[in-house]
Amino acid sequence: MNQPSIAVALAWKDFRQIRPLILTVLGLGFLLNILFVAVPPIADRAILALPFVFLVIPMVFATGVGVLLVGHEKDQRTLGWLRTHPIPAQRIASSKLFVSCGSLLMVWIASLLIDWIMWQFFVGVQPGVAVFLDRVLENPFVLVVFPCLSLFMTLAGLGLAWHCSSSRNALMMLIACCLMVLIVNLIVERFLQIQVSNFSDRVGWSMVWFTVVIGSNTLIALVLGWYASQRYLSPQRAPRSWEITPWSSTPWNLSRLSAARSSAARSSTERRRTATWSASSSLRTSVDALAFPIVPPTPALVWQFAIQNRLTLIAVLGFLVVAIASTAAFPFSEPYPAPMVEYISPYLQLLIVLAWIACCWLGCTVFQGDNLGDRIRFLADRGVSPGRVWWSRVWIPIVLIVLACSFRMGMRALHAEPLDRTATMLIRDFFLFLGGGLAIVIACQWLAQCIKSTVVSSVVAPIFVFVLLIYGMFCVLNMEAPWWLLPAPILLLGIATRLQMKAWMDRALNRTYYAIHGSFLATGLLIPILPGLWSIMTLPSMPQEIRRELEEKTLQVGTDGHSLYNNESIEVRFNESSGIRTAEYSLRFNDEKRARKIENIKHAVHPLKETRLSRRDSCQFLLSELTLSRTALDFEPSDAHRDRYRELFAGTLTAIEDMRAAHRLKELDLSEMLEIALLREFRSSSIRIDLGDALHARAIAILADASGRDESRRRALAADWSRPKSVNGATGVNANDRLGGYYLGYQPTGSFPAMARVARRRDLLISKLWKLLRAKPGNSSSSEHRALSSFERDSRITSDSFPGFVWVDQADVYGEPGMHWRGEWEIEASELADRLTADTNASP
Amino acid sequence: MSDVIHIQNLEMHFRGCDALRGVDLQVKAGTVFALLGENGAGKTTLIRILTGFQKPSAGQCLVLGLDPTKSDQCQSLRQRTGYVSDAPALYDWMNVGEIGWFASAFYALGFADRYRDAVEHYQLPLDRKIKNLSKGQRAKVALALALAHEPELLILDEPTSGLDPIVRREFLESMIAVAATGRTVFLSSHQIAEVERVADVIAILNRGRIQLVGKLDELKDAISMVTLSLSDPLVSVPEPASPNVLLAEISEGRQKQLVVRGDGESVAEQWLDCPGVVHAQSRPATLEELFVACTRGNAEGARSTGVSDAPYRTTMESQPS
Repeated sequence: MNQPSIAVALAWKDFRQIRPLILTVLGLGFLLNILFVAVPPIADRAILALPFVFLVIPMVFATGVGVLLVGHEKDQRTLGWLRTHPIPAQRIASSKLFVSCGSLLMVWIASLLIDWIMWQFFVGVQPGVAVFLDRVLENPFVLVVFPCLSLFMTLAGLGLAWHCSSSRNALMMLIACCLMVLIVNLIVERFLQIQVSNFSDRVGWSMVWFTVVIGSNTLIALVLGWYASQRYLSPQRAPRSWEITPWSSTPWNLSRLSAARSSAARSSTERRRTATWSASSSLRTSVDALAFPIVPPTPALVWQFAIQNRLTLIAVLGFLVVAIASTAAFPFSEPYPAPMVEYISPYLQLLIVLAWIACCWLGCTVFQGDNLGDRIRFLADRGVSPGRVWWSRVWIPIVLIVLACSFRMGMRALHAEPLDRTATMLIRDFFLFLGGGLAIVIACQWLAQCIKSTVVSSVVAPIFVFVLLIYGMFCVLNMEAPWWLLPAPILLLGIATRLQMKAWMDRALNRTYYAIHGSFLATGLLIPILPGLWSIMTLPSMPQEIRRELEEKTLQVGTDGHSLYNNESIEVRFNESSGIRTAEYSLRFNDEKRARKIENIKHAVHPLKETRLSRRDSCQFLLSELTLSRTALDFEPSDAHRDRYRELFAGTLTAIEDMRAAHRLKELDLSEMLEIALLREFRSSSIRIDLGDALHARAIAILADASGRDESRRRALAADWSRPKSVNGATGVNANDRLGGYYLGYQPTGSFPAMARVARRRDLLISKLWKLLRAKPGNSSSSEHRALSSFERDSRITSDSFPGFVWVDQADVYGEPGMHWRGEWEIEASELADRLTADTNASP
Repeated sequence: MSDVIHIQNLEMHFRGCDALRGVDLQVKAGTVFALLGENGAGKTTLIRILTGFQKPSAGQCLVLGLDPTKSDQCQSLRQRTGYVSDAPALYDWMNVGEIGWFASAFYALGFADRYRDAVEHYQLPLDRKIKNLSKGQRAKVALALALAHEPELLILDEPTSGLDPIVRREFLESMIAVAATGRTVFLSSHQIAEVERVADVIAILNRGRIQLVGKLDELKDAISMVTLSLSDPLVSVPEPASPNVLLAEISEGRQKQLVVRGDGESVAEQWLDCPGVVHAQSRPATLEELFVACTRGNAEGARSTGVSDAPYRTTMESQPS
């Protein structure tokens, strides 16, 4: 066993003590990030939300770390054991100082890292990261003021924990302290801004002001905290003579004051004896206490709860009253005069946060006081019913929430606009806030029953409730949960606390206890999303037989190694064809109108001049050139025009072959459009002469190859089915609404059931197309398919199109894959093959 | 032998309570010193002062020649003493091995090895967390930690309270072993039987005062319990003849029990001659009777002669010079 140095041992111990807080805060922060990104309305503004989470994690940690390091040790009395060892007081205090500041830095870095990871992997793309980092790095409040504030809170927490007797008191004092510092500085800062109006850079001024003020407060907290630590760690001084006389002590304590008065009335001898009470007199006092009237157990328990938590309850009630009165007196919507608005808006925001924290702490109080030193065992050992204890703990927070809501209703009735204070609105408002307040209290009371440490539960509670709130939004927006199911998790958490009361009172906090609590939470979280999950599970899916065939075909495609993405020849060839466009046609068109329209079509291919052609544009260009060339040949059957025509025809055939081999539905459909166009060329009686025998035979071989075309279609279907997450080679969020380059339609709600519906619809479309390939052209299923596609197709092919000219539509936006499959043109193509065979047989 | 602990006129006053009222005490090196007293007598307060947690209201104390109330001397003092409280608050999230490793940082080399030996001796599992140990095992861990740096003085504040007889026995054996190596044990307890087994010297603290201090054997020889049967409960007996001294008196109906220093037989004979005394019997007092007499006796029936305020001391070496 290696013997460590004092500094290492103390730092190790301190870090291990705050490790649960670090993990909990970072875990909840991570969860919050995920929920922020997942919930659509927030995700749309994720660029705003992420910096918020980035700030929340370290600030919450700063609230708890100092108090946890010292207050928790005081509560557990381990600091006393530590003091029995020969450790200088400075070492103990400096170790806690070092660990708290070091861990704060670590949490800041971890928080930034979490946000960066979230942005990188969930939100998406590099420019987003740049924007996020810009927002963080360019904002002085983020970079300077908030770290300063967190350091101040850490050091103030440490100092107050050294000073206060319990960690809960230290935590409340810390909030009050921070509030005081912030409000005073805010008022002074705004006042100076208004009075000295020549500040050109208000943000810069605020940053400097807050940095200086918070920095100086941090120094004060450091000095006072150090002093408090040394005083606590040195031998405790004996009470002074004036402190041990009964009437000079705690004059605000009425019972002691009355005892002092009554003792003053006794003789001087008796008074001397009173000043030196010993154990036996204490016994007498307790015997006297039995003279109180006997009360029923429930009021006694309520009294014990109220007295035990009086400081917290008074503080929470104070926070709530101030917050409610302030928000009622200064509504947000009120147009305040210029100087007032500078003060009121940030003040109200601060109060809202405080009211939130107050409600959370009210919930924590339900079980926290009894957690301390396992006080609850006193009642458990005496066989007090768990149900009675539970009600006695829950009763006061409920009453306080009801009182606060009633107070709010009263304030609204007095201050709100006449339209806003109708009876219906007031009652609705009352029940809305009552429900919200009770939900917060119940959630936090569950947390306090799960987390034994007072500090950790108090610090984590506001984030926990916030996470639940965002989860509720997630359920409604992402899982299409009905709103009336939202209270279910809260009710279950409340039931869990009641059912676990006996185990909690007996301090049987073992794995079973936490497993039961965890299962209640999990069930509660599951209930609102059950309808969404049910709708996902009951969606029709692709038949297994087709899925198996598709998987086999996918494997074949994979082994062929021939796909769109390693075949650049199409692009290259099409781009080369742009040179064709520059060829001059010397002929004169008889039909000027026709010529002008064809020119217009060519000009409509907009990317032609500068950029590479898209496939659709390339096809369009190729076909327009082919049509022009064909027209030129018809008017002037010269060799030059024929060669040109053959060159374009051969290029088109090559394009068809390449696009068939691309294993992508969009390319396949484009190739079939080209095939249809070429088939129309075959209607010309002179086609064999115009093409020459070799090209003619090649064209027929390609156009009449029905089995090869079907095989290409199957491969394309299989390949596109297996790459739902990939759109044009890049990862997409909603890739399931795309198929082989087609856009299948998107439901803007963005919920998971909607996305599942899109994915299942895609699967069903694929299986429909797969089944279609088993049918023959002209049968009922192919007719049905074409009827379904005709609406789309007809709307795209304009009525003024030329006969014999194929318009390559905007298929990537509105199209439907396989729109030409099993069409009449396939029959025409097979007839062409038959005709050629017949001609060949006849010619000998 | 030099004094390991030297306390002079120590006073400690709290709000509404005088915990110590002029305590004088000397503890010699190499002895097992037991401080007896009922609950609330001031034992823990005295130990808190000795271990440097509390400054006294008045008086002086030196432990191993150092003043525990001074911060600069307190560290050296803790280096040379071991302390086990009645409910040691150990870090319950550490395991038995970790807490030894952690504590070894504060002492000279060799602490860890000795701690490991002690843990093996007590058959404690090194990898088990403190929170999963039984009360007795926790007490053993605390004792192992207190002994691992071989302190010159071991201070134990009711270390066996709440422990079962077997663990208590192991504890006592450890104390005897410590004393056998020449080190001093300062033990606070109200367990008379165990104190009787291990202590060389005892002191009885009652209501902030030392009522009685001395070597256990000498105390047993020098102090007698005289039981008187009276014809009337209101009958009183005179002071015993010099050099005998009445230390305490307990009245129960027509029976009186009087703790007497000196020759008990002669005092019994003296009181038998008094009117109203039907029967008088003397025998050597047990430690328990001494304890009860010094605590209950003084509270209920001490005479106004001031016997209860003057601590009885045997003629042992620990008598103040």
